[in-house]
Amino acid sequence: MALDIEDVRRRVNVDEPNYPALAAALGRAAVPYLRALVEDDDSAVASKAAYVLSLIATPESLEGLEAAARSGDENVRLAAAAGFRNLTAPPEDVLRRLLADPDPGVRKVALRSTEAVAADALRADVERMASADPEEGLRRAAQDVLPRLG
Amino acid sequence: MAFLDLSRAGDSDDLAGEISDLAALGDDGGGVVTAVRTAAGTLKLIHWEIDSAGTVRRLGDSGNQAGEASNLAIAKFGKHVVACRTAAGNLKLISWDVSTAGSIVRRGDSGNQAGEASVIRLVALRDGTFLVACRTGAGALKLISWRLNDDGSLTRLADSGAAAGAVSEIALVDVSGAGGNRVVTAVRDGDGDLKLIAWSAAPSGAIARLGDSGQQAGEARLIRAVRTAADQVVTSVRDGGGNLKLISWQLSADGRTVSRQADSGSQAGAIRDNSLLALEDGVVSAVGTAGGRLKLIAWSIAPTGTVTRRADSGNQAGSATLIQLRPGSRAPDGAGRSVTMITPVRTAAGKLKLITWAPTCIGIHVKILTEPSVSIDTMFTVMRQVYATAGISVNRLTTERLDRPLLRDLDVGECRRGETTDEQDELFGNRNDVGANELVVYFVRSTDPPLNGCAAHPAGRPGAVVTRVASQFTLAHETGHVLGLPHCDTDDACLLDRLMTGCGTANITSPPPDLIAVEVGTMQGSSLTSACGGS
Repeated sequence: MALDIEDVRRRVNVDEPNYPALAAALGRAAVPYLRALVEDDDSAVASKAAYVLSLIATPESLEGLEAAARSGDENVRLAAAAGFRNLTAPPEDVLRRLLADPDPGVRKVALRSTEAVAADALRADVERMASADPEEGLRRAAQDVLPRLG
Repeated sequence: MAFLDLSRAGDSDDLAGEISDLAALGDDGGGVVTAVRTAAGTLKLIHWEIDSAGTVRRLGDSGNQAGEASNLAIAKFGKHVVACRTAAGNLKLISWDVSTAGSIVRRGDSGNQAGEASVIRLVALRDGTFLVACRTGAGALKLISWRLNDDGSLTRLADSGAAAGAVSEIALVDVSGAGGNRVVTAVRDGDGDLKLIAWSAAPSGAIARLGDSGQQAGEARLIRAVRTAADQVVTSVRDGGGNLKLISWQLSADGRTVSRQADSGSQAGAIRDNSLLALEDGVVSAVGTAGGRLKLIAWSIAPTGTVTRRADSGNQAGSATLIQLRPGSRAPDGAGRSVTMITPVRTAAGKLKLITWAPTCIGIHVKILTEPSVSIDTMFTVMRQVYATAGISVNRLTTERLDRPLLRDLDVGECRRGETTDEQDELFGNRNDVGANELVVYFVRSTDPPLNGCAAHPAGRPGAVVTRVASQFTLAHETGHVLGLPHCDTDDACLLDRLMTGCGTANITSPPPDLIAVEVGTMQGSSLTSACGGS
C-alpha cells in the first residue's frame, strides 16, 4: 500500500520507536514525507522524523537532517545532533555549528556524536569546548572526548 | 471498586495446624470464624480477628468440645451453627456461642434427628430458619429446615422429601426477597450436568420445589453459587474441559423459571479448586489454578448477564486447596487501610491459613528537570482514570525539582529493560529517601535517541523518564512497563484501544485506553503495587 504523510506521521509518532526497524519499514519512499515532518509543529513528530532520516541514507534525508539542525525547536536540533552519529560522514560544518549551539543539551549530544564518528576534523571545536564552554560538565566531557578523536 | 481489590495485605502465618476440611464465615466485626476438621479428624472452631491492615490474629478456639466430623458447613443467626457429617455418617447440626473476646462454647445440637448425609451445605434464612442441603445416603438431594432453640438445641422442621433426584455436588444460595424465603440449589445432577433448582421455605419450615433450569447447562464440577446485588444468581464451575466457567442466571418472580443469561466463555483457564463471592459491584472467584496456586479473579456481571473478566491477583499467593472466600469489613482506618476479602485456605503443608486482600495502590514520586508540554497534573488525571479500571489507585507522593541541566537530555541507549547508560544511572541515583517499592518518574526535556519516555531503570531504583513531547498517556504507559507490561500489539495489527500499544499512545482511539485482565494480573502481582496505606 502506498504511503502518505499521515501514515508516516502515525508510524513515527510512537512512544518508544524502534528506529532501525522503523527506518527499514518506511524506506526511501518515506523520505519526502519525513523531510516535510521535520518542519511539523508537533515537536514529538518533528524530532522523531529527523532521527529516522538519519537512518535512511539518501541526499534528501541528509538535507532534511541539516534542516532539523537549523530548527528553532531545541528538541528537533537535539534529534538532529543525535542522528548525525548514524552517518558515516556527517557534514562537519553542521556538526560544528551544533557543537557551538546556544543550548547546552544540544552541545552535549553533538559532542557525543562527534566522539562516535571520531571526527578529528572537529578537534579544535572540541578543544574550545573543553576549555571555554560555560558548562563545567561539558568542559569535562569534552576533555574526556579529546583523546578518543581520530 | 471493591471487586478489584486484589492486593494481598497479610495472612495468619503459622497460627493454625493441619486440616482436612474447612468452612468459614465472616463475623460482624470483619473477623472470621473457621470450622475445620483437624489432623485428628475432629471438629474445631477458630475465631480470627482481622484488623484494617490485614493482620490476622487468632482469638480463640473451641478446643475439644466436638468429636469426629467432616463435610463441614457454617452459618449464623444469633448463634453460629455448624452442620457436619458425624463419624457414623449422619447429619448433625451443632450451635455455638462465639464471643468477641474469642471464646467459643458449644450450646447444643440436633441429636439424632437426621440420617446419613454428605456434601452438606447450610444457610441461615432471614427469619432464623437454618436450611441444610445435602446428599442423602441414597444419593439424592434433600433439603431440611431447622429451628434453633433458645437453649442451643436444634429442632427438625421439615424436608423436601423425594422432590429431587441424584446429585453428587451441591451449592446452596439464599435468594429470599419479596416473594418470601427462597433458596437455589446448584447441583451436579445424575448425568453430571449443572442444574439449578429453586425452592421455597415457608415460615413453618415446609419446603417446596418451585422450578429448575432443565438442560440449560452442561457438565460441571466444583459448583459454587452466589446471589448478585442485582438479584441474579451466578454459578461458577469447572466445566467439562476442566476450565473455570461462570454462568449468570435469572429467576422469575415466582421462582418457577430459571433462565440462563450468559457465561464467561473461554475467559479463564483450568482450575483445581473454586470459591465465589458476590460484592456490590461484581463477583470474585478464588481458584486453585492448574498449577495449584491461589488466584483471585474479578468479574463484572452486566444486568443482561454478560460476564466479563476484569482483573486477577497475579502470582501473589502460593499453593492452596479447600479455598474459601469471605468478605472483609471494608472499614478504613486512619491510614486508609482496609480489608475487602479474606481467603481461608489449606496450604501446601496442609495447614490452615487466612490471607487478607485489600485495595491496591501505587506510589509515584515526581522529579522535574523540564516541565512537559502536557501538564503533569493532566498525565496523573488520565493515569488514575486508566489504572482505576485495574483496581489500582495512583498516589502522587512528592514533587521535587532537580537542577541537573546536563541530564535534561538523557542518553537512554537502546532503552532496554535491565540495560542503563551512565546518565540513566546518575539520574536514577536521585531518589532522595524514596521507598524501595515506590516509583520515581523523572520529567526530562528529551532523550537521546528521541522517545516520549523510557522505562529502563537501574536495578533497585524503579522508575521511568518521561520527556517534554510525551502524550497524555505516556506516564501511564511507561509506568505499565515498569510494572512488567510489554507492548500488546500483534504482528499484524496495532491495538490502539489499549494503554500498552507500541503504536503510539498519541494515536490511541476511544480514550481512556483499556487494560486487559492478564495485564491487570501482572500489575496487581507486581512488588511495586501493594495494599493501600501500607508503609
